[in-house]
Amino acid sequence: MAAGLEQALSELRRELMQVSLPLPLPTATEASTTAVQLAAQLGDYVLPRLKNLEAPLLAVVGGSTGAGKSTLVNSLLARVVTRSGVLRPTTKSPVLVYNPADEHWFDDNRILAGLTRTRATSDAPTALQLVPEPSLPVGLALLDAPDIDSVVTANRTIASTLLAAADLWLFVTSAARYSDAIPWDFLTDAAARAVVLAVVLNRVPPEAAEIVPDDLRRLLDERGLAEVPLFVVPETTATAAGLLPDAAVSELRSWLATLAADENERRAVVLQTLDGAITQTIAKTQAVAQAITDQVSAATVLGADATAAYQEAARIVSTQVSDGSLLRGEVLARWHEYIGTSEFTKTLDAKVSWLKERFLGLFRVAPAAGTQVQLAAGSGLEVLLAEAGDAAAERAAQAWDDNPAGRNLLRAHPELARSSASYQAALARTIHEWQADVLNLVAREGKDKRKTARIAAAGVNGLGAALMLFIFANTGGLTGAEVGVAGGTTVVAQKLLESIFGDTAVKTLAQTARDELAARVQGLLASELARFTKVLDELDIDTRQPRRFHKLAAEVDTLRRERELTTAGQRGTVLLPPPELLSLTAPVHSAAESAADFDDIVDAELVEEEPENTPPDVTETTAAGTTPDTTPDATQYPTPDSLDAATEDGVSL
Amino acid sequence: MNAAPPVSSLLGTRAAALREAAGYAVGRSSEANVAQALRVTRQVNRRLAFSGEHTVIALAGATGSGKSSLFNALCGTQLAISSVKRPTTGRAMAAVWGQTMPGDLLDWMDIPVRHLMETTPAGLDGLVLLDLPDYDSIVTAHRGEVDRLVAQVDGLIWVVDPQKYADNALYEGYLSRFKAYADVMLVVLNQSDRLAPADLSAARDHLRSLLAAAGLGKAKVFTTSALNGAGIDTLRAEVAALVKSKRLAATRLLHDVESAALLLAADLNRERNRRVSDTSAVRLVAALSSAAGVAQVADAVRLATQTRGTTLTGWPLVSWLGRLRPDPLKRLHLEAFAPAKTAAPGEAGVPTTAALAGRSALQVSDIQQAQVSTALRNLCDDVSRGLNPGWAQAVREASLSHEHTLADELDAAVTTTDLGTSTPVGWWRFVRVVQWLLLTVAAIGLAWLGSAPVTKYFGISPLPLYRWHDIPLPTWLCGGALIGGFLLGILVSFGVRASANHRATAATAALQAAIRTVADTAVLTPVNTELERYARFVAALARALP
Repeated sequence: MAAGLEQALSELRRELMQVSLPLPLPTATEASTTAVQLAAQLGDYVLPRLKNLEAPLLAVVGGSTGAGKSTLVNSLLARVVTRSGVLRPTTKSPVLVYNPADEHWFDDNRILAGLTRTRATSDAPTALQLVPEPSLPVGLALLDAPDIDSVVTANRTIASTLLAAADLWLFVTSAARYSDAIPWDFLTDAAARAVVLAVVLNRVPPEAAEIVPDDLRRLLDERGLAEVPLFVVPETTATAAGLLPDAAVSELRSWLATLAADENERRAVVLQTLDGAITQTIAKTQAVAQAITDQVSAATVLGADATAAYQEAARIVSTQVSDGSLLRGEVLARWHEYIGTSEFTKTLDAKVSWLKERFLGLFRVAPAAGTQVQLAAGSGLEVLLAEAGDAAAERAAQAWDDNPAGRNLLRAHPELARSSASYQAALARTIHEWQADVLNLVAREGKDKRKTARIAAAGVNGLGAALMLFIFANTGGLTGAEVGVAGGTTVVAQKLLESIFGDTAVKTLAQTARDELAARVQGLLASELARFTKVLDELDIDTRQPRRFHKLAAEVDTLRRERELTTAGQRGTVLLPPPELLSLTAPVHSAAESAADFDDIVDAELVEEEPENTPPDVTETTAAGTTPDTTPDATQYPTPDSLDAATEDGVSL
Repeated sequence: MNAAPPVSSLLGTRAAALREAAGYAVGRSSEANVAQALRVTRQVNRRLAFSGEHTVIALAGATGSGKSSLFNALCGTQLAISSVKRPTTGRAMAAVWGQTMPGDLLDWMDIPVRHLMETTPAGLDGLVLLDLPDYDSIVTAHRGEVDRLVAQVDGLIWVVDPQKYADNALYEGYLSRFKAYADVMLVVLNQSDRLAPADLSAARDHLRSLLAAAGLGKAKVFTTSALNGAGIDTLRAEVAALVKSKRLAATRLLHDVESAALLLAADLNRERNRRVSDTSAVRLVAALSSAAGVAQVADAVRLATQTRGTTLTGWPLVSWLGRLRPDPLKRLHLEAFAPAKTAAPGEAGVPTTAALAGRSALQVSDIQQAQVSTALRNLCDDVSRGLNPGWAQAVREASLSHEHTLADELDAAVTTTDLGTSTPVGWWRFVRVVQWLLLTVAAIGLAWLGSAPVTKYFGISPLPLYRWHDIPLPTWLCGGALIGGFLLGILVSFGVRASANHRATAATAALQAAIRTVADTAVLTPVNTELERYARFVAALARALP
């Protein structure tokens, strides 16, 4: 069972480390950070903890700069193990304090593998100072973390990582800082994740002792942290060694001692935090998967825009090719030259021009009239295709620029806004090849001996030209007035072709040639479109990753629930204040339940399991908090008197 | 007081320049930057409209740093509430020293809570001291108020304390934005009573190094304790100095103008031509000419001239055949300029209604449209090299402003230009006369030769046949004239070809000039306007920056 959950989580971690969110969508930066943090937490904490449930409980002392974390840790241990000072931030590298008997758990890279272990004092944020301390109970380790909100970025990052890897939070704030926004972000996250935590209100000056703890308690209640124990440490002058007097920290110390002594209690804490972490991982994985889906959609939209632009170009070209546009201008002039002169002058011209050609042909080569038409038609097509390609590139680039996700891509590849450098040559080649195809078609048609003679008279070039002109004016689409100009031209061409090849053959020829042209144009534009799709492919967004995430998340969830059945039987999944104080606190969920019976207590705990799976309902706890039995002051957290009673039970450091 | 005018007049010119630059950049540079520039110029105008008597300085800082306590200490009274409960100050409060309460100024800053102090210590006359809320507590509304007021006040005093002086919220949230503002800000390390003297100086030095790292090494740092009064007098004296100079508002606004101008000036290409270069214009005209079919028209002109010339000056017996060949100009419906008998010389440039209504056969086709579009695109690429995307887009739109009518206008230019074909070349007539003369001579000779049966019939003595070298004179006449005419025709044909080429060149030039006019109005002028605007934008920004 455990192995299955571990395996699933390992795979999830592997998957999270390969998350790539290249497009600048609103969800991208947050999801990237989340993915990195989740992967880190899985590796630093969840997986090692699953493997070794009996490892010592790691209590991380975290909080703002200047709240007094290091002084507190030193005072709890009654010896200076971590440096504290006036200049802020003080703690730069984390300090791990443990009982020497637990040494074997901490001297390897079992947890927090990213930090290098060292025995010497260090200032580097990526180092973990190891301090063995016999006065600390076995099974409990204290970690003095750097701050969560100073100018030093490394501190903030490491502090986040450490708090994510903790079994128990000792969150330290001060009378000056207790309503700062950043610590509350952490506390709210802890509430959502059902991390077991205790809040220490440190450095409380005498004038604030009446007001501030109550105010803090109110804030905790408002945010779903009503059950969290709150310890108040007054601001006193330090002893010569820079430690706080014993009286100030005794309650906290004894609470920790109680916790450390009871193995079941420790296990309960470990399991609750672990379960909370896994649950939150599942929820956050869904968010990461959604962000990846957003990326995929955005990339798809960009691809669709580019494709649409080029399809539009292809459509325009195919319309222009068959509606007679190519029959104007140069083409018309050359065609008229070819056939437009009257018979008489044509013969006369032919003879005279034959003489002229022979004479001048010694000096230059003038292409025959039929070839002239082809050249003109070809250059017309070239102009149309060049413009279509450029216009399509511009349209696609405009669509990408309008899209915030595509804008950066376009800035990185400005050459996409125009056709590629080789487009001109490619299209000239394409047209040339197509015209050669047409001539081949004509020549092939004329294999029949009867036609060969007639073809010879008109010339293959002339017939090829005629066929092209026929294709360029699909008279089916022209209105009556336009037929006069374009139609007149094609009627002649059509008659010429029909007289040689016959009616049906001409239609087949025209259709084949037309299809050829369409296919070539399509290929040409497709290679231009490929530049856009290549840029999108280079983004390397894994389209199947969201599905894998959902599958893994579901798997982890199922396995987690199965495990829960085995752990629910164990006592005490929520850390309440020490049992002696239960009578002083009101039942959290229902006024009907009294807190006297042991069985009732168990019921209350079972009910309290729910907050692990669902976000805590703030209104519920505040409603409970205002029941007449509870006065929002000293009874909500251990007073020195009651804890002295606790220590009398014989549990002490 | 002597130093005051230069700063405010400097501010006036720079703010006006920034406003001008922002006006040019609307729709072209990034929206956020333009909006910021406009906001700053509006603020300059509003702030300067209030009397220069008052200087507004605000105490800003994190929750718990002791702003309200410091406020009270500076005022000498307990105006602001400070307590251990956090956050304390919810809304800003103003304390005013001087004769009058600047109600309108405080209304503009939306500060309803205000106190006019009874006594004014020396130097604080005109000071408006604000106690602001915090910027880092869980009550997010406070942050909004702080952000608003921090942008509006004249001077800022950042209050930090030993616990929070290294908080990221101060540096990342605020100080990083105010790097150039060291002369209008003070930094105060409050609660100095909590630290031993040695610790205090260490903390102050550390604070200085943090400020230097954030770019504010020049800012003045003070240590105070609102509880026991240490350092309060020094701070008050410094504040008095700031107030006395009466330049604080102008200095702060000057910094604002500079920051906004720097935003707009990011990745600007300063080296810009104000107009489209001649080479680009020539390229455009060439492309538009080929789109409009100028070459074809020129060709037609050449052919037409040649044909007409041959018809007119060739050997009359054969040249009439040339009339059978269709006139190339007629085919292009440009026959308005064919040698029309009814066309008077003065009306050479007026087309016939047929030409206008029926349009030339070179009429607008998709090919022409495509060529025109390509020509425009190439021009834009040439011209907008190095411009920011927003400006390049504006240039492109300018070039396309007449997109739909450009092809039509080109066509109209081609049809309405005088191609110079209506007047025949001068010397052709002369040659024609000679040819007819020769023909007449040949006819006379032939008649002479053939006169014998006629004279015989009428009984007149035959005409004498003079001989020369044994060949009768009429034969000479006839043969010579015929051969002469033939040779003349061939000789002249070279001349005709030369004229035809000359005419074609002239027609090309005329057409290109007409197209140049069209290009000027439809394309070059809008593009030049845009480039001019850009140049003005760059110049205005240069004036707004020091």
